[in-house]
Amino acid sequence: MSDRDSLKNTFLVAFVLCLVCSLIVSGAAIGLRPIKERNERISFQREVLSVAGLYEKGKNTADDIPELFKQIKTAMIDLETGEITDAVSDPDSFKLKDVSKKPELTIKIPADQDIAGIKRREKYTKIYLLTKEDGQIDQLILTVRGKGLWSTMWGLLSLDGDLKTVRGLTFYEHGETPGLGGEIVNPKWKAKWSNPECPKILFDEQGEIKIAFYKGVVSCDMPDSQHKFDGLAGATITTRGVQDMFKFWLGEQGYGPLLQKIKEGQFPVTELSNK
Amino acid sequence: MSQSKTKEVLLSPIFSNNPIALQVLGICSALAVTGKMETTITMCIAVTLVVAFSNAIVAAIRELIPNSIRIIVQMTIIASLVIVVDQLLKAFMPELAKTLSVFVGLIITNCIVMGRAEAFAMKNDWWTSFLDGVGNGLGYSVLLIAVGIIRELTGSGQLFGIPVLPLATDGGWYVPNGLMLLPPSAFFLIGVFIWILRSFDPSQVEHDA
Repeated sequence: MSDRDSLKNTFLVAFVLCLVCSLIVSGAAIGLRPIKERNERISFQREVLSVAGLYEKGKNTADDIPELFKQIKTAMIDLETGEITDAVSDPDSFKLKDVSKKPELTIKIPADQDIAGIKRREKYTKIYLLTKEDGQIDQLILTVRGKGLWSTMWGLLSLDGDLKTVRGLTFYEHGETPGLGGEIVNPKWKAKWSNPECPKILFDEQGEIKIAFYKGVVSCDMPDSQHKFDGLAGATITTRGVQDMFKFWLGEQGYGPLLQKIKEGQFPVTELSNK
Repeated sequence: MSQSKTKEVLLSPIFSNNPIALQVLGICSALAVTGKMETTITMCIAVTLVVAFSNAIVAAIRELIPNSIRIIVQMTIIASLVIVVDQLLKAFMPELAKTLSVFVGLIITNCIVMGRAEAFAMKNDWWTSFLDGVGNGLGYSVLLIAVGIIRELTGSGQLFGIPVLPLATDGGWYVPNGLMLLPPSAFFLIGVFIWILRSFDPSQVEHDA
């Protein structure tokens, strides 16, 4: 047996290799962490701004984001009561994605109420607001998510101050089929949620949630067109996922209590500070 | 090492010994990432970098690697490189990394990388192995890009996300073929490419034993 294949050398090579490789890998991970965290924060802020209509691709660049984001007010709320909470010690570093995986920060949704198919819902979440000069809400931006065909679709919904008209809808993470369900991120499809001439309204006159997809293209002169959105051809399950997502997040398990508090004027909009 | 050898090592994997078309390696990622040109190109660069450097490193230490653990040693080197590439992508191309991350991780199991380390780098010096890696990466890229162009063009009427064929839904004439965006279409395309390549170069045809 040559020296190279001896037991001693085998162990030595394996040990040195593991050591060197682990150093390289952890070096890369730690060295790049600040850049990655900054990217993540900026890219989420960009989503918030773009759903609010304050960021346009091509017109604004990533460098504008921190400045633009100063217009946005944030608040941590308790989803169950709809009230502002101080249970979260560090709201600035709140990351929904991380929180949604932690059992102690989420509650299990009863199976019969789990319309969106997400199984667990965070106890506390961060909401984003734009206010008018008189202190009233201009836009209320909420994080939403729901199960599509393959994946959980993570989105942001911007509601008008009337709390029923959609001002924007965007999905910042999903794993739906490109070209089919993946069209939920197509700018043309998204634009239909924020068309002021043909607004989408999520509630009917009685205050019940009323939003459904329509197989085909919704034209503005159709009856009830404000409660219908374009179904995506070839992606019925994704489209139904979007519909169910609205039903869940606007309902009692979702932001229902918050919306109620705001309507009753019990939500201290004017006391919120800009971030 | 003579000039002609260098050239051969670098260029032969592109057409005459293409890793996908002839060796039929690395099919999995070829199916997954070719729906869009942007992801295709990034994946090609990532694979080329990983196969080139893993080849070079494996070749440089090949005299030291005990035979009994050589596969594990190659695997460890490849896996480390892939993680580094993935981290770099996440840091500097966060948007792309989102869609590609899963597949970048799968470069570890891309048979081209392993295959070249075991079949070539274990027997050659580091520079030749590096070139072999680049060549195979390019061979992989050529095929992926060809598949990617056809899939994005026929599947969504775009190239690099820029509309090329006016879509019927936007008032144009082209009705996109949704099948082309789904992974199986890459199977058909790769099959067709292999057929074409082997029609021109019958020496690539395998014969029954």
